Amino acid sequence: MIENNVSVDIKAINEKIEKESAFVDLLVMEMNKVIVGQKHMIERLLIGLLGNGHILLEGVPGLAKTLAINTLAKAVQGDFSRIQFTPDLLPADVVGTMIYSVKDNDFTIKKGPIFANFVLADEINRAPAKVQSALLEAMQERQITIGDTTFKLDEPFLVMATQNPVEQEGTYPLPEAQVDRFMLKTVIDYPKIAEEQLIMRANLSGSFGTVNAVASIEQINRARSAVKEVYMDEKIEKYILDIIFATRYPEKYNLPDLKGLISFGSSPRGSINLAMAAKCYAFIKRRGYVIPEDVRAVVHDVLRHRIGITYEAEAENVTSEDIINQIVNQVEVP
Amino acid sequence: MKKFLVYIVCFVSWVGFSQENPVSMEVDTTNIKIGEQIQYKISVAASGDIMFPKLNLDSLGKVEVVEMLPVDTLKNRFEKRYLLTSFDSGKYLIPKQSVLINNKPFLIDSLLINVTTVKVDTTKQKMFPIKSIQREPKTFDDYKHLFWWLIPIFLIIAVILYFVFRKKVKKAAPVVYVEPIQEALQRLKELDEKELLKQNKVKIYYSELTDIVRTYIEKDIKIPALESTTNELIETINDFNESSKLGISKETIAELKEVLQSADLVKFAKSKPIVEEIRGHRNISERILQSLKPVKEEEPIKEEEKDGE
Repeated sequence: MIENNVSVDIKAINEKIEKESAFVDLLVMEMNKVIVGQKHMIERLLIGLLGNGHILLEGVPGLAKTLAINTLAKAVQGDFSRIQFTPDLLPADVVGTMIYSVKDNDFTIKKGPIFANFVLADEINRAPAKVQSALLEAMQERQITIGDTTFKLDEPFLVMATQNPVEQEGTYPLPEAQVDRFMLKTVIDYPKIAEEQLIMRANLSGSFGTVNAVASIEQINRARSAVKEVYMDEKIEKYILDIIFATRYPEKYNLPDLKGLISFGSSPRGSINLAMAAKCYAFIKRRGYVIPEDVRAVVHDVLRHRIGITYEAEAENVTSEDIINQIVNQVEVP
Repeated sequence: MKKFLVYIVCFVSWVGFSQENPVSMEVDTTNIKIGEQIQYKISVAASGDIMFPKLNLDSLGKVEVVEMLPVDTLKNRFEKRYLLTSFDSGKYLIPKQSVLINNKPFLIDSLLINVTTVKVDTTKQKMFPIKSIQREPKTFDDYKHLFWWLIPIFLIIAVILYFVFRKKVKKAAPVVYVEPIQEALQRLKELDEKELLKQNKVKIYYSELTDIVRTYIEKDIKIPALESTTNELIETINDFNESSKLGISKETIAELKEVLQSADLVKFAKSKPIVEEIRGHRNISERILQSLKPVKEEEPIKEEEKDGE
């Protein structure tokens, strides 16, 4: 293990994080005005926003996915756009294209809906691979080239892509290499009975509150740089690496049964994103340092799309979720 | 005219008689060089009890029989082949041979063979150096005697291995079971002896201190403490306690939580408590170890009780 000898003033970091994360509670409260329950999804949205990552959301229709990201955009005064992915969608429909102007006798650039701070790529698996690639490249590079001109996307830039887990016919499943570009894959479930009762009442009476801007883009960008300063001890780094390596070489972590169930383990993006997500989680909890609880809180969302399962695992109904559970129950906490 | 008719009758009878001889002889050649072979074939076009001649060496002179091949049975015909040779030049007569067919002898004509020699002109032959003595290729039998030497060598190796192996087993054998609480207290004592605090190694001190407590909980209370975070561990202990398995006081759990959380701060947030605080945590840890009660093993249901049910 490489020693990290940089001296750290935890007290100063804590104070800074306290200050910079003050808007988080306000933001969550504002979002809770229109979204009942779905605390997990809101937290993950914030992690994606602060960690400069993107989120793949899996859930049946009607679970407030669009509403959540729209509300977040409003609360931080960001631009929001929604792209409904369909089989006949073209890359130009996403990134934009050049249109001939008769008046100017020249081509002018028409920017696509991806030029926004918050982009909802609805049902991403309904569009063919070329469109998915166009979006995912933009996500990775954070810039778009139309014709000869390259445009840098505005920060923050958060893509929330959704997938419907039930209707798989006529879809184009995202390849593993593409899925790996999402920082988190969050699975959302139905609200609890009490929550759904509140949703029902609020919808019938139209008593949902109005979302106000409680933070600014500048605040978000400042918070992003503050997240990078959250202290992560070497022991936590080792813990993260142990988890990642256990997905690759389970037999070395006393999990020989998993060897036949995992076709491929997490990529290095997994460890980077797990560390970043843990820092973001610590930031949301208004802490200037990462503790093992932070890693545990985000490990499923970071790794569930990064572990490939074998046919044997599918035959035995073992999911990547089960594999992660076994790993975190086996790897010693520092 | 009468005389002419008698000659014709005699000639016809002679021809008729010769056609009745079922035995014939055939050779592939009558001129050979020394050592070459002649294939001498006797064919019998008849059925019944047939006895081919055994070519007698004395009668053949300097002609030798190399091989007498078995009788070849063909359709309405029998054939027997003889391979003959000679190692002396000259002309030799193979006498008449008799074949018995149903005990009736039939004669085969004698045969003259010519054996010629091979001319060797030693004056024209190229001179070669004298060849050295050629060694015979080694066979299995040449090494067979060595096996008698290998047997004692293998025996000695086997005896050595046996003693080495037995020694190892002996070393591994004494496993002394130490009660988890005794082990934990012993480790605590060893931690004190390391004097890590004097060396300002607070982080290592807390890592070892929490490891002692967690290992004890894992071993004796059967809770996966080493794989749990602080909150998870406290939650699990609370759950176990509520289901009255442990019987630990709430104060002890609160103290454990405080120690673990303080340790987390030291381990992950570079916190440096004052010495009194550290000593306090150490003493609390010892108290916690002594107050945690191990899970009693459930007694197996007796067979009689099972039957009664």
